[in-house]
Amino acid sequence: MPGIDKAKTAPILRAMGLSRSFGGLHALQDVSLDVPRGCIKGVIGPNGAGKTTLFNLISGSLKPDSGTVCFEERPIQGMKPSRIAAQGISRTFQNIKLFHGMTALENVLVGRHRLGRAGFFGGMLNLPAAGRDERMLLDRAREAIAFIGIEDVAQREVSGLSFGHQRAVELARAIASDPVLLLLDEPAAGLNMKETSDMGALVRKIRDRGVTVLMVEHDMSLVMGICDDITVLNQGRKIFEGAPDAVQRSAEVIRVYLGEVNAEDSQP
Amino acid sequence: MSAFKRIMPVLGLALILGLAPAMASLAGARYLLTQMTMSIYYALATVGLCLLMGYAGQISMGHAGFMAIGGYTSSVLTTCNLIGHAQMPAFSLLERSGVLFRTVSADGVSPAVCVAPWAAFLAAIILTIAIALLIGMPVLRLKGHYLAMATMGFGIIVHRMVIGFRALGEADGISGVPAFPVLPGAAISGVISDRLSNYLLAAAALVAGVWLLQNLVHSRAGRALRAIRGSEEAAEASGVDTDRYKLMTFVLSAVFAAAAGSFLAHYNGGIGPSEAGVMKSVRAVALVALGGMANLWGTLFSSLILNFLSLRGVFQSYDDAVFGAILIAAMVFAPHGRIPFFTANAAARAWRRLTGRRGRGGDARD
Repeated sequence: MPGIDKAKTAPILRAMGLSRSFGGLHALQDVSLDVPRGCIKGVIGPNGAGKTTLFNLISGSLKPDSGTVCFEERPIQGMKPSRIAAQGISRTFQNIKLFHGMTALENVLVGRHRLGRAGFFGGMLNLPAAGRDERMLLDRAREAIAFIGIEDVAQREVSGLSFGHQRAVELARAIASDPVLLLLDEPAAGLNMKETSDMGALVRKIRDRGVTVLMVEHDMSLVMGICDDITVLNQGRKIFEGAPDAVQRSAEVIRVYLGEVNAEDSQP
Repeated sequence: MSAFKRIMPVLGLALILGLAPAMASLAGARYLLTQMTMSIYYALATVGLCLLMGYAGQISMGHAGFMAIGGYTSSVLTTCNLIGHAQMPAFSLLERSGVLFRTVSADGVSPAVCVAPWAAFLAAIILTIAIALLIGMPVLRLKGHYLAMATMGFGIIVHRMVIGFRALGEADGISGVPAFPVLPGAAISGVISDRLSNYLLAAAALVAGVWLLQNLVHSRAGRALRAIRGSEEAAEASGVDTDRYKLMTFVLSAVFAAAAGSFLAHYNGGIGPSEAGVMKSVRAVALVALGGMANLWGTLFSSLILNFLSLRGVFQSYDDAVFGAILIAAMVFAPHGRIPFFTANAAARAWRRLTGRRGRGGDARD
């Protein structure tokens, strides 16, 4: 990251010493992580490494046993998810969580909820201010839908959409709130190769709009292709952090992913 | 949705409700107006539950409890005799401001002072809001069956209290509830000669209530409620304060029930403990389920029609069984509320299926 200004170089998100256990299982132990502004940061690791737990701790769905999470240098750990979202952190879910019974456009409108102002009574009485608010929300939701490129399904009810479309609607919902930081939980899960590379291009496009991205992903081609920086977790601990090529060269990471390399296997 | 498209169904409802008494008169059955009026008040309570249960996805098995709180508060305050407290300093002030009014007690001779119906109504609404907040805050953390059981517990407590307290008339309930003048020249009362004006007042209240809810459902807040029903976790992650929205909806639905309960008590001239019974709550839940859950209009019409039939005694002694059966059927055949019966969408789909069957069949053979 170029630039000498401290405010610009300070990480947008800084997690320090995060730990969380479920019963006797230490899902995450003393994990620290910086997300520099304007980058795409990847979190990888085998199943059960604690990636999703890390995400849930950052987004507020879970509370950490210990440790802090600072967003824009303000602590956010322990806040309700809606308050964290209100500060400009939005997320997607590993197993897509859409609002069924609503159209794609309505889903995206909910994504923009935090930037609307009309309340219960304004809505009930259909006050002019609520109408203006609604038109503003609608314009920006349509923009998000156009940005993701799903105009053709905007009016369709989401449970009838294909898996790829559902994922795209979720992404549109997440960016509709003009987030500062976007958390993507396995955005390529269940997508084929073509869709995965489209998703990679989309995530880049989102980053180029000035959104910082933190992404958990299994698909190595996607992670290595678009991430500026990668954190590797294994069994709840951070084992490596660095640029994609450094991760690929790391003996520790290779050991975790492929198992011990013994003499016979290494023969050509 | 445009303002025009949104107001049309409300106007349609006003038209239907407005024409109904004329049709009853033409058929020489003006006596039906009484049950029509009562079923309108029940429908007003049911559409409030529809918002909570259908749109926000939070079940309440204690809705009749709130209706009873509204009805009993109005009944108690407008019938209790406060003349013994006439020496209190605030008394004359309250009397001059119209909160209290002089009347005669049930024996027809001795003077009495009671709370005016409008003040009693206000008190009923405020009390309902307070109780709904108090109950809602802990209870709405629960989900599904647990929420159903907790709210049912609340309903049972209210029922037991109205039976148990002497001040609430025990098993006899409260009678002698006076007329409630809501507009100049129009009062909610059971006077036979005012039957038509009473019906129209009830209809106006229902149209107003449905208009408010219809607006809400199509607003930012209403969308947030539907999102909560879709996925509470994702709604929260989208910045919807789900706790607050659920609580607001719980309170609002309770206020609809309490207002309906209060009006109904003035209309009937009294209230009894059966209004607070658990079966009344089950009935409301069954009507929302039959109406198609997140379907204000379906709930409205199922409530108007079935409550009317029930009040006419069509179901005889199987009354509760009929509503229980409706609930079971709705849960088995359309647990998510897709009852293709009342909804305009379903009608359109059915029409397309009827008219487009040949074309589609052709596609299938290709």
